[in-house]
Parts: sequence; structure tokens; C-alpha cells
Amino acid sequence: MKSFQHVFTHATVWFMNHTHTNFGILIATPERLVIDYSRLEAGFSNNTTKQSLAEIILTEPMQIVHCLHPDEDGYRQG
Amino acid sequence: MEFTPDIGGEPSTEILRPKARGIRKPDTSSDDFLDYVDDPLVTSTSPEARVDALMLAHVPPLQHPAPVNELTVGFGTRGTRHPITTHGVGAYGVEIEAEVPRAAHPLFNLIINDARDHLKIAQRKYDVIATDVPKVQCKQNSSLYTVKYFQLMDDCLSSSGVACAY
Repeated sequence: MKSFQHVFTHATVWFMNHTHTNFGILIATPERLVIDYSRLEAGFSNNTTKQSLAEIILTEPMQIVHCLHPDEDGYRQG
Repeated sequence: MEFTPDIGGEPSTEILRPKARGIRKPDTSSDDFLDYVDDPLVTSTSPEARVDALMLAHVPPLQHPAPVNELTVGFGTRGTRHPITTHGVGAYGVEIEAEVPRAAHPLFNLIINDARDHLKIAQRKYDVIATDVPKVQCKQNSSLYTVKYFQLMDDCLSSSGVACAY
């Protein structure tokens, strides 16, 4: 995790906590992460993407937002 | 076997390396299967593994305003390949094991190469790069969790690119 953050300044940790799983993912963006809710809605408006996400009980864009923890500052504090 | 440098175009490269030893075993406590490579358990058909795969397939592109293409590093361990194509991006995968293309999704552009080599010499910039390889404890995979590797990823991202690792 430290290696990823060493290279990518704006790194965040995502964990899917609405169901049983055992790991999270690290995501880096060029600038400090700003959640674009309309972008998430656009993703869910695609039926094939929506069906794929529904397979793991993700049916609303807000559920994606809830997967973010911690943010960039929390990640840095380790 | 001849080594052909990968320049980020059509799948064309094979490299010489010892073959990984993969074994699929039934899970005695369910109907699922467990896949082991070089001893460690790397993936399975369990619901938990499905969550992991779909998270990697969907969350990174949704953080990019308008991804045109995406590279998945590691192709053989999870069910990420078809879900990625639902985002309408040019989907690329780089995989070191030449046996894996037999399972390729038709919409996927598969590159057989060491990911580090591909990232070093690819002429294409990617909007999303998601590293979806077995965990760091697996043989040789620690090289895909280093500062040097992440710098290679960074060098291959477009200016608005999103990087992802797990």
C-alpha cells in the first residue's frame, strides 16, 4: 500500500462492505478524488453494466460511494 | 521459442519462462472450485471471488470521466474480462501465461507478455490500468507490487488516467 501511495499521490482505498469479501482495492486519480455522481449514474444507466453490478447486489450508484474508505488523507495516515 | 518485443499493438508476443503450475480443486464444503498457482490459492468460483472480480472491473472505470481504453494486468485469475467490456471501452489485457488466451473474451485484446515489459515499451496510453494479479505471496508476483512497477503504470497512463491495484 505504501509503494502505491509513494508513486500515486492521490490514492484512495475502496472496500466492498455490503457483502462478504476479503480484500479492498487501491485507486489513484490524477488529482484529488472528487466523486462525480452523474458519472456513476451514467454507468448504471448502461443495462449490461447494471446487470453485472446487480450480480453482487450493487443496484444504486450510492452503494459505490459507500465503498470508499478511507479517502486520500486517511490512507496517508495509514 | 522466439521473443518478439511487444509494442502495444496486436497480441504477438511470447516469452520464455518456467510454466506456472496451476491446479483446480473442488471445494469440499461447497459446489465451488479453488484454483491454485504455484501452491497458493489465487482465486475460486466462490461468491466472494466474484465480488472481488466485479469490484475490480467496475469501480476504476467509473472514476474516470470518459475512459476510451483500459488495460487489465493479469488475465487468468478472475472474471473481470467480460464485465470490463460492458463499459464500452477498448479492453486490453496483458498476461504472462500463454495458455490463458484460450479463455479470452472475444472483445478483449490480449497481449502475451510480462506486464512490466509491456508497460515499459507500449506506445499506447491507457485511461485505466487495473492490476488484477494473484496476491503478493504468489511466486514472482511481488515484482508487481513495487514502487518501480507502479511507476511503470504511471508512465503508461493518459493525463486523466486512473490506476488500480489490489
